[in-house]
Amino acid sequence: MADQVEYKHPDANLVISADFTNKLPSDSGLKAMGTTATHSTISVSDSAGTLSTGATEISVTGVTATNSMVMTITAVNGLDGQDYLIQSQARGNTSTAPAVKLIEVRVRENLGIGAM
Amino acid sequence: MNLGDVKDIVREHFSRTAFPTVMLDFALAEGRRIVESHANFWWMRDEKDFSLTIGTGSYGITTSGTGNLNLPNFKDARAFHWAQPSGVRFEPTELGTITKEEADLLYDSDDEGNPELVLVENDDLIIYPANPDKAYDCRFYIFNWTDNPADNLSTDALISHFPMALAYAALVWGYEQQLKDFNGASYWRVLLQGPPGRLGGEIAKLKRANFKRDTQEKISLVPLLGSTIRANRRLDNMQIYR
Repeated sequence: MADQVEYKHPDANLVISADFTNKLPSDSGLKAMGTTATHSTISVSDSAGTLSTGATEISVTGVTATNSMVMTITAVNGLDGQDYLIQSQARGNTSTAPAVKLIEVRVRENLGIGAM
Repeated sequence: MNLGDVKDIVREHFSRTAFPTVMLDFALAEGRRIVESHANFWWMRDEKDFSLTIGTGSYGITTSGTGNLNLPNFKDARAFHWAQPSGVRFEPTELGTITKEEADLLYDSDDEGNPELVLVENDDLIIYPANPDKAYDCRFYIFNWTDNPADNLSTDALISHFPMALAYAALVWGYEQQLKDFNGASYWRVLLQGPPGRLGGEIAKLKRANFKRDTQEKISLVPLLGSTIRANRRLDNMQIYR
């Protein structure tokens, strides 16, 4: 099951805070975002397990701070009706151990945002 | 509707955030199985072209590899035709008209020739005579179990025209497996297939639509050669040529 579930309007930006304190208890901060094995990384896929690079598809960026256990993720755009799975992998700045949080983002134009 | 719409409908009856998506996918997959177990519907039709292997009379239907048909979602057989190698005219073959026990008595194990009888025995396609003398071209008409589309924004015949059948079936499964609420599951089951012992609900609508389509597409396998020719002309018109 996903660690977090968020609803998003396709025209709105969604800012998500992924707190890794419990998952990396021996660290006080996270490695910076990057693409190598020594960085924190972020990836996203749609309900079919893939993601095209179309302009209306969701795009995500992540931000970490060496003195914070929170990865701040910004999700932009997204196709109405599509479900996206954001895999945020953070690495502790001391342990360098990886921890993963799965965040499900459902893009809905007309469905109420309030969770049941 | 598309798959994502059906997902949202099913989620509304559990929880938007606490019902795991993995369980939702299971519910929809099993829901489709529940619907398709009621009948062979039009979207399940498929066909497979293959060539017989000289001297081989048994072919695995669901298994892959040389000499097998690689149809892992095979549900039921519809018809079987054969043609000469690289031929253009297919001819019909009896399919499943007798049991294998009877067929084994009718044919010698080394009888050769083109397919006269085809049986489905467990997961194997059995050809009689069992020793084909040529690599005859064959066409196997089948019904397949189908899967839900992978993408939320995709749809198919079941989801686009009878989405509530899939939703109700998924809710039946979800209420039983996730909530352990068998009375609630019964409610959705009645909406899906009608009261116990009677046909109703979405399944009845699907079967009616299936019947209408089937009667228009049914293959009439009638010999059109020789003394058994079937005259489709009016007798008055035929007498013009006498």
